[in-house]
Amino acid sequence: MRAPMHDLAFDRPEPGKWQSAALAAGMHLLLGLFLFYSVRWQTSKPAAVQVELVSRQPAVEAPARPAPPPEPVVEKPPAPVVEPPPPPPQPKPDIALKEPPKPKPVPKVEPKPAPKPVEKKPEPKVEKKPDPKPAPPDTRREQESADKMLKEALARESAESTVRQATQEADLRAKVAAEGARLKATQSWADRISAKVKGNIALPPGVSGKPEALVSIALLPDGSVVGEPKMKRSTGNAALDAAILRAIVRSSPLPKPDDASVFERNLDLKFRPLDE
Amino acid sequence: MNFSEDLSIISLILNASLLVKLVMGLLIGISFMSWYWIFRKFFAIRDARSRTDKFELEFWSGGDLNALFQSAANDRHNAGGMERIFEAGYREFTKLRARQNMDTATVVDGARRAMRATYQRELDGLESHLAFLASTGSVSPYIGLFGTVWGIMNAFRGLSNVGQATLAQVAPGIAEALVATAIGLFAAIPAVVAYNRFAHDIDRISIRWESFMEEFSNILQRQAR
Repeated sequence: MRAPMHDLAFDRPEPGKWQSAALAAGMHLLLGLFLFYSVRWQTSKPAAVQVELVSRQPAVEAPARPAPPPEPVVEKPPAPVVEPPPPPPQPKPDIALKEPPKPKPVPKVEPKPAPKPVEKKPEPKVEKKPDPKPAPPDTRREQESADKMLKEALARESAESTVRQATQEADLRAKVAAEGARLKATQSWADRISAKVKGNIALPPGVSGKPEALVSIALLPDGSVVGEPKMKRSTGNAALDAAILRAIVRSSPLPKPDDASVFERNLDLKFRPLDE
Repeated sequence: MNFSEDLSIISLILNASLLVKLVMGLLIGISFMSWYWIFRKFFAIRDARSRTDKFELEFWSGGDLNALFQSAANDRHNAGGMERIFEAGYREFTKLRARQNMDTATVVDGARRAMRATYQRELDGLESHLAFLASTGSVSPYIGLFGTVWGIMNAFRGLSNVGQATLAQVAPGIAEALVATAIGLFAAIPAVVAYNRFAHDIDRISIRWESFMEEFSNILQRQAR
């Protein structure tokens, strides 16, 4: 009696042995496919890290382009060598014409006084001309020699004036290059400031598009912000404006410029908080 | 951990260290077994419920007990749990009643004991392998976590040889390691859900069987007089 009962319990065909094995395999196949097609992240992740670097570089390069190539800097050494002899005031108007189109001529005018003392040279020459009068005997020879000297001087002058013009130009170009470098330094400084501030901006929700704010900041030489920064041009979103101002205050002290001469007490900075 | 640009799931698994691979293999095996048993138990329980429904309908439609017993005894392999309980009880009842000088209480008690034994056996068959699902649910997250911890340890140890530590150097190692936890959770979650569901279903079936045993004992007691 016991044996048949025992049989009863074990004889029953278990339903769906192979079916469940197939289903389990199918289940795992599905999951595997799902994982295979969905877990493709990170392939672009290194690129995302680079974006931060790339975004800063073009900003620095952009102002560098208007600045002329650094070749004129090489030409600069000959300039002082040639400068001492040439006295002519004639090229000056030439330079005056050239100056206005260039951005910042103020520092350029200063080097010019250097040639000025040389201007005295022609004066003695001019004095020499009347000289012959008191001494009549040698007048002809004197005059000839004076003429010769004058001609020579004139020829030299004209030759030198062209050279001077060239050097002046080179000088100018060097100035512009220096200006460009300065601009570059300022730009990189501004970039570093905005990068630091951007990191501190807590974006309010619902900001979209390309908001841009112009903020005026008063700085101490150590980079710390004095007083409250002022919003010169709003982004159009009051919450975002407030967030930018708060971020600037929080970022104090701001980074210092690499080149201390670039430092400005009052900075007007543009912020594009949504730009990467 | 080397620097892999392509972080698809395949490369994640292939780049993992040996131990993490072993853990993943173990977990995939466990997961497969647990799904296999989930499906098998699902079919078995659905089958048991439908057979119970069918037998209850037959039994309470007022047919002859002897005819019912005959059909149950002849078709053992296809009989459901409740049918077998009935068969065992009725068989014992007829045997005891055939003997002389047996009072009603003893006969019914004997039939009831026979029914209970079958009931236990049937329930045991139904509940088998549920423990596997339960332990899969509770243990496989730990196995996965072990693999992950090991993988992360390796990732950081590899980092110590590099001068400049960047996220990109640890990230692939950690991602590889986390795959182990993911597989562990994938094995555990369905197992836990299925275990709870099946335990509940089996409870309900066993209650139906038990109440049937009580009712059938009453019927036998009435017949024994």
